[in-house]
Amino acid sequence: MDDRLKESISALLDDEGDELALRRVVNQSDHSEVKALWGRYHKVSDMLSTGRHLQGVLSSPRDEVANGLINIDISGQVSEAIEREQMAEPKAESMVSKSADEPFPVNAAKSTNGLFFYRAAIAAMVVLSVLLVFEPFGHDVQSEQESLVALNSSPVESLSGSDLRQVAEKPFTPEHARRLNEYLLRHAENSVSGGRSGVMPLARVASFTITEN
Amino acid sequence: MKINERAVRSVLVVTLLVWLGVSTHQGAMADELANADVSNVEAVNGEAWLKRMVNAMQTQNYRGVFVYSRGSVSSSMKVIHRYKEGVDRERLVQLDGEMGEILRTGDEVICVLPGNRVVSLEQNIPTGPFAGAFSRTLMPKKDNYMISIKGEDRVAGHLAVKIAVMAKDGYRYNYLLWLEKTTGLLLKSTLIDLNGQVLERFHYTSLELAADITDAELEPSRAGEVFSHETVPAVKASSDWPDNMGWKVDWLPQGFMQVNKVITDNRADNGEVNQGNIQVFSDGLASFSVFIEKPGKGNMPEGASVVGATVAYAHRLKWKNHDYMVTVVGEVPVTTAMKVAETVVPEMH
Repeated sequence: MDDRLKESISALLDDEGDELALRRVVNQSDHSEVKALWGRYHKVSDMLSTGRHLQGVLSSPRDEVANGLINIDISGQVSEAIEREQMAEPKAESMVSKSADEPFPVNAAKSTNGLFFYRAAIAAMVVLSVLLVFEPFGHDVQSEQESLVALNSSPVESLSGSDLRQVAEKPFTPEHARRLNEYLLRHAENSVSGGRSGVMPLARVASFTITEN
Repeated sequence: MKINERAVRSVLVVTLLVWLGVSTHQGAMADELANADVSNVEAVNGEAWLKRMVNAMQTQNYRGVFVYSRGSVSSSMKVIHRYKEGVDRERLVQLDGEMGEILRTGDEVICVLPGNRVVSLEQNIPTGPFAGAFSRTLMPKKDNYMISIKGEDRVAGHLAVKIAVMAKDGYRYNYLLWLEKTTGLLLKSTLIDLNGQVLERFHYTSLELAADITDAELEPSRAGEVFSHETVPAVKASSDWPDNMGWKVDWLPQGFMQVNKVITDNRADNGEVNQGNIQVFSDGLASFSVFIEKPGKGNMPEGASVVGATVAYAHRLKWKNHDYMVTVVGEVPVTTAMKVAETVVPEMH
């Protein structure tokens, strides 16, 4: 994938993409790499904007299911949406949104060509946002709750989309907690070197070690 | 090659998005600080205060009770700290729930868990010119943090100076620190992520600066009873590890330096020598450890595990038909841990 395509995806996500960028992405949207990158950008962006940690960012792009990209055919649905738009084109000039696929009123002043891409962009957004419904770690999951979560990918793979949210942030298994505890202890030991960090590293590890053991 | 490509791709993506993210998130942080007194902003003095803090945490003698919280979990603990003849000792006693203690003498840490289980860490021998020396002097830099005094306050009956240490990029967290006015000792701190969300709080409810701490106060409270001992092994070593093989972290956030490096060298029963590698990095305030070891049963699941402000990011690295496990653990955003983990590369000497 060339850098221009990456830039185009990034620009579209930032609402800064032009028609050319959109065309570039739509043309390549059947490529799994593009799908994966789209999903990854989305999650990183989401993670940064919400401060939450999404698992999709955390695992490599090789695992599509774990990335929340549950084999939804982007290109098929985008093409379908575009086809629908083309068929509807004659009356588009005065049309406002009616269906779920057209959530926004359309600017009637747009040129036919511009309208085409504008709508394609909406369709692409809608289709792609479907992917995010299956986000393993959704927006409304705990924030003020216990900030202790396991964001590992493996259990997610065998689950259907509807189950993903439920396992999104789960307590550690005893084995996982034990192993994590060892790393936390080691890291605390590394951090206390010379006592310069004060009691903090130990407070952190005590809060987990004693509670979880 | 595949690994490198993926690493480079991740670096590009994350760099772009972290940059984008930071520019939009400083606003949230500004809100967090809005209540602070900003009439007395003197960055230079802020740095001087941090130096005092580091010095005070090593050399002051004190006993106190603090509350540490992450999310909805909070624990109150008693702490006793003594610095005597160049050695600092510390004892932490859990006051809520089941009894547990952590004892530290210098760099050595021992945990006494409920049921009188004593957990100690197998000692590692630091190598190279590091051996913790840098971490004793490394201070947070103005290039990476905006450090400013945010007025005065009162914490646990002590007058305090409030310092804001705000990250200049998205690779580290922000801190609000309350330092005891006469000594610089940390009385209270809040660690805040890029989005302005508080990840952990630390707060003394009582603190006594004391010169009379006895040895007995630093001993575990159940001394004399029967303890069961467990040792946490050094990193799980790998026999797939050629003697001339080292590891390099190819990418570090600006300002992070290696402060320690440990190569574990265990001789198995069959005479096989196994190696593991731990590297520690710090920017003077935040730190993370990078563990490189042989994958095996009981490995951390790949991806991130988060406990309050601490993340452990596990990444499997394949090199010449061998798998290695890279785990980055530290008080840094997941993004930072992920980028570091994915850019670890073998280095042949």
